[in-house]
Amino acid sequence: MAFAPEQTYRSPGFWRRLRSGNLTEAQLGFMLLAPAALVLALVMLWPILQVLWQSLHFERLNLPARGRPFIGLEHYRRMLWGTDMMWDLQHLLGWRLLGLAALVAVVWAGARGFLTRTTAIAGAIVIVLVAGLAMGFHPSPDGRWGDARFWNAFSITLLITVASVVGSFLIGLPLALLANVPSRWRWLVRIALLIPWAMPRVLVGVMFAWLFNSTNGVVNDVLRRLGVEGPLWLARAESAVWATNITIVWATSAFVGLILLAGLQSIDDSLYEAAMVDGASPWQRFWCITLPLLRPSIAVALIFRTLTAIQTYDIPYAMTRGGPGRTLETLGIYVANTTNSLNLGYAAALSVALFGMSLAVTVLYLRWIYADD
Amino acid sequence: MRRTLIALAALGLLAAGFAQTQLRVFIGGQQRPDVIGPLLEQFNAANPDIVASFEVGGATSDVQQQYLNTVLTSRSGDLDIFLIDVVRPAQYAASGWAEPLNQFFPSEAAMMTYLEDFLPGPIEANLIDGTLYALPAFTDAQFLYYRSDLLEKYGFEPPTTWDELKMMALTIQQQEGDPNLQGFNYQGFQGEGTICTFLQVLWSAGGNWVDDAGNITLTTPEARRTMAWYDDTLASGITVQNIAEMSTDLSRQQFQAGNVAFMLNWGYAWAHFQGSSPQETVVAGKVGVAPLPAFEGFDSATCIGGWQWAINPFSSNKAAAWRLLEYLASPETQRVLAVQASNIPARQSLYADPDVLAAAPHFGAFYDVIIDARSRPVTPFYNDVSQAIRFPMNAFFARQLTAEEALREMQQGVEEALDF
Repeated sequence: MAFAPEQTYRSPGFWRRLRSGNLTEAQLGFMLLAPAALVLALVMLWPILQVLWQSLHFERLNLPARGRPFIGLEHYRRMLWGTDMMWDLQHLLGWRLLGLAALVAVVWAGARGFLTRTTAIAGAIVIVLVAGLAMGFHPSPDGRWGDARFWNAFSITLLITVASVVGSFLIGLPLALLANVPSRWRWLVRIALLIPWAMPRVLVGVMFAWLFNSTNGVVNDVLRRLGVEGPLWLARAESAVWATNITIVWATSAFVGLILLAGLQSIDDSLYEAAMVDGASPWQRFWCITLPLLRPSIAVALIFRTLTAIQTYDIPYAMTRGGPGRTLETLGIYVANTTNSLNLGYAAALSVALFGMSLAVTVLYLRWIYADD
Repeated sequence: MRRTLIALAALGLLAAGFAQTQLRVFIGGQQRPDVIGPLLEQFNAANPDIVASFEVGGATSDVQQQYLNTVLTSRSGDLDIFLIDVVRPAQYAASGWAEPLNQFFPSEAAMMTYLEDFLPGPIEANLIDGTLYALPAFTDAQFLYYRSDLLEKYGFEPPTTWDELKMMALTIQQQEGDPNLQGFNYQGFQGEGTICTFLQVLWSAGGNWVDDAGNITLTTPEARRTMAWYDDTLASGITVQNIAEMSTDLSRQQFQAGNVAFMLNWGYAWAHFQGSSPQETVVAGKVGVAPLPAFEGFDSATCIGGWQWAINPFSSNKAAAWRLLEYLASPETQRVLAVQASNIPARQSLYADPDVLAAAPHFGAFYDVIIDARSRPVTPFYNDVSQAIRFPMNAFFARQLTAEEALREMQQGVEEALDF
């Protein structure tokens, strides 16, 4: 019997396999995933597309007579460039563009391998921070640079993201290490890890607003007993930024700690034993074993933390409603305020900006995780 | 046989269900569901063809509005009647979110006669270009609360001018020697109360946010005088430096703890001071209520508050809803709300009502303030206008903007909000 030429062999089609109950494992997998994928597409993809579409329309519910005309990218122009500075070069040389250019350069250099990844990420963070501080957290008196309120919300969102992600990592990692040390009191540390994580964010915000109240709060009372006159926390812009970030770090370090704890427990003890036999110091063991093996957990913790930080709404809203003035009006709060003013078209455009920020961060992190593969 | 009987009974129930009109009323958690519930049951007993029930959502004006935004944007008829804040009817009228009520009266004249018993302020808010969009449920205003025991001790009468208030507050603070005693407390936080903080003093200086020709007038000498007065409250020390974090209820709690001599606040605070409150009160029997002071030579003014009943235009039971609305806005219902929930009546006749005065003797004193209460900007863009005024005001109290910068931002913000 002659060998059948390879190309004449045809695997039975999907529908035939389905009828005969003879699916390959991969096909079966896709079949089983299909309902979930369909539901996800319906409840996530469809609304995202709808918001994108809505952002291209004028829609204000208190101006129903105007209808819902298609206005193209008008909302984005208003948000990013405003009305009269499109061609104004002097403004294009502002801080934002410089910052953005530097950011692009650093990311590009990092991706091309001219800089190590760590340097590139640290550089990007520094640029973002400097640009955010230079742009100010104060509503600009002349709204010539696009929507001043949007840029204010953008910079405060960036600041909260950087400060609270770094802060929660720096607090969360030692907490996880502490919770992993075999001791009689380990259960206590673990409960302390769980409580802030389990508390509703709005409740945390209200609670800390009381703690930080400048006349009746615990924080200033403690400071007064130590002989220091505390700041007017939530009643002044600079200290309100601190108070809010401290609160967010308190509420979110526990989450980072829990994820890192799970990572720590998956590290094989024999590695440490071998290192000890070789005479490695505790610091060397941490730097050369713990940290590298913890990297996947760190990545997961950072991604989730950054995404929730970009969407921050609850704690600043509960503490100061985004005040004083607009100091802590994050993008999330701005979207809500615009929606409540019934300007649905512009609110959709702002949501798309928020979505874009989240997407950009996710892509960056994913590249970082898969960089070694 | 038995099966047939059950089927027949089920059919009968179904038929009865169809014959009755179901009405759904939406209120907030702050509007005393415990009092509204029995009122609806009473209505159902008297109207066997209607079954009215209610739904509670949100406990602040903002949150209740957010819920209604969702319901009405989707043009849902699930709710038939809802309660809205006095600042909303203009927006509801523009958006087509409230059923015009003129159709339920035999004539315009009959409608105007029906409305005569209501206070002029709330009617002004609900009657837009001759079309009636809602009926007042109850009203509210800001009052000057003062510690009657302290005023008596130093031989003061309630102040009628801001200068008098400052002098009295300073004297009381100095004589009492208590570092925790605040002379004058008001709302400087970033919420809705702060627009009233600004407007009330502006009005009492003879100014307004807009002139008769429709120009925004927030950088006028009157507006500067308003800001100078608030600067002075902070500089002279009669007001605490953290006023930027003072919300409505925080104000109320500070006064209730005995830490404040004079305070601006809404009507709800009174019942708390008398002991109907989750917090302990040390000021029961030591509180007086007066109209807000004004600048020398000008009239006192206060912000109007309160809630209105409106019919959902997407409801399919409007005729039945109107019967319920009439009942909810009736003197009998408002009497119950006044006696059991301390809601300030929107009907003038109830201020002389013996039952109401027996339960809430202070309503007699409230009347003089309430009758002159003025509306916050009446516009479909209220939310934008409100943000354009209270955000800079809050930044001013946080010493982030100077008086001049804050006024410039308000002027620009309100102009932008109304330029559509």
